[in-house]
Amino acid sequence: MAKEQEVNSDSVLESLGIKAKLSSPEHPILDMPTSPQEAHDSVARVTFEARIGDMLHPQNKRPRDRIFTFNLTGLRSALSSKWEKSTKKVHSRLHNILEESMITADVYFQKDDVTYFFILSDIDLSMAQLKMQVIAQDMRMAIAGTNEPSLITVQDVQVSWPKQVKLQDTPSKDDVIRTMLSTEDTHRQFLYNQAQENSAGQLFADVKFIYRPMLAVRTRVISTYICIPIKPNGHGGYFSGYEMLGAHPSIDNIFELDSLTQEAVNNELETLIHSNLRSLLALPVHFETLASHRRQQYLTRARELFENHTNRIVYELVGVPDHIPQSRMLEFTAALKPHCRAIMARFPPTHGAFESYRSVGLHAVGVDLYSPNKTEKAMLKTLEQFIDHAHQTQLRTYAHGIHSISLYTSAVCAGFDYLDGYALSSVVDKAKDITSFSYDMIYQGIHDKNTARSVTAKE
Amino acid sequence: MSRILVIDDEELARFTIREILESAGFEVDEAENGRIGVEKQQATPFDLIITDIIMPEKEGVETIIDLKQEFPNLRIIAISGGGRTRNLDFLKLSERFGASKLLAKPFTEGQLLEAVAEVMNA
Repeated sequence: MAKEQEVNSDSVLESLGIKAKLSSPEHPILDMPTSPQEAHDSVARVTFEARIGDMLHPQNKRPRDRIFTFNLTGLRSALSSKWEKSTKKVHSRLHNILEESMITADVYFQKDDVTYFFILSDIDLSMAQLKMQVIAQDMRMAIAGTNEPSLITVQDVQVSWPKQVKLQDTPSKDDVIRTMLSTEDTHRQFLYNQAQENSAGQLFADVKFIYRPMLAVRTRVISTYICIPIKPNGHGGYFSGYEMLGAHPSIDNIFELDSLTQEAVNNELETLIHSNLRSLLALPVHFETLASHRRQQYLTRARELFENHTNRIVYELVGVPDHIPQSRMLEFTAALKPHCRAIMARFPPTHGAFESYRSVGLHAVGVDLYSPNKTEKAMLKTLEQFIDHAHQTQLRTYAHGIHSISLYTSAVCAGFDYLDGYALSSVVDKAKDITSFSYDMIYQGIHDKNTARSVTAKE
Repeated sequence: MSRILVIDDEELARFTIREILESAGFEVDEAENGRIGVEKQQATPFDLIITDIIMPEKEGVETIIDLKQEFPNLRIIAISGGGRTRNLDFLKLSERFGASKLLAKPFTEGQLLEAVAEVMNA
């Protein structure tokens, strides 16, 4: 069986123009690499070939991976005489984009100067096609400054056992999105339906609120609890925050959710005060709520609720569009400031233009690291880039979604001021009092768990 | 010949440390994060492990805790960028959980070899 598998994967690789066999002594690819890049390329290629073999194995029970190819011939023609000189830089830039876009289970390798191959794992075909088209778009924009499709063409590689290989143009991004929206019974459709068809009352009927502790790194205390609305997603899990409103929420639904959160925070604040607990409560407010005709209604209620306790409230502005003018941001901070102790604003991870926000009354700028499509390596890079930009303007910084020890260490060392996420602490139903925190608490937990496991094993 | 495993997510850092150590006669292997490092140690144990602190997948202190749990006598040198105060805090923390020696980046070839000799002869 193993022999059969080898023959078939070889045939497929040859059909894709990948003729050299890694294990073959006449090909030098297994020689010691002479540079880190060469070492990386060799590993990428070995991994790719192994995955092809795995896919074609007759006993493979996994959902079929998706194979794609990028062709850069159009880009080479467009750059004409500049191509020779800039090839290295072009590929270096493309590799960076790929490192940021691919998850660990995805594989890619560069076959030659104009061809890349990809294997995407465990996502449906439309999602895979969309991901490839978005990556190709990022590449075209990064290199040529235009999204002309012919610069980098994307094709699905359809492989069927035993050795049939067919290349077919991948539908455009817009077509893929249309297909996804027209497909019934998808997760997106479920969200869309929830948001569009339910009345506001039904939509928010089963919303609950949880609190995420936020660590102040400099003072090493957990002093703030962030209120997060959640809603059962029908599959045993929960939608968190604005996710529950679907892909294109209405302004009214955003306002309703913000208002419910505001009420929940007020209730929680009363409990804290009653129990003599000193922690702060943070709550999200969406850009659309403050930019719409519902703003005054929201702010009036904020004044009524928090009038005597503004020093316990922190607003987090979310959904802020990229490159919003300074005057617009100032308008929002000025509107919120009378009702709170501080205002933070969450930005997309790639945002770099903080200069104009230095003097608009923001206490901190932040980023959400929850992104199932990013590798940890890419997230670490995001952290570094984000904080470099933010620190140039001396704004304080925060990061949501610290879900691993690696992210925790990196974020602390990068200089973030506030952090939260599962790696630091679980979410809680009720906000608690201010508690101290030390860098080693997390490690001590791992150490103690290891020791306990070891003792149990010996017993 | 003593075997050393270098765990660091920066390819160039691994490459440089490997060059220095191989020139000094050591057999060297590499891992790009702590998870792979622990797997390599479990597969073919090394005499010494040099690990960075800030890495994706599994960072340095966690790696040291796991390695010392399974290999209590394993010698480990922890390395990290010395430019930031908080990096040094984590470097010191790694000593508490079992690193035999700490080196703040950037370090010279001499400092690296001296640290390796000190730990190997301890």
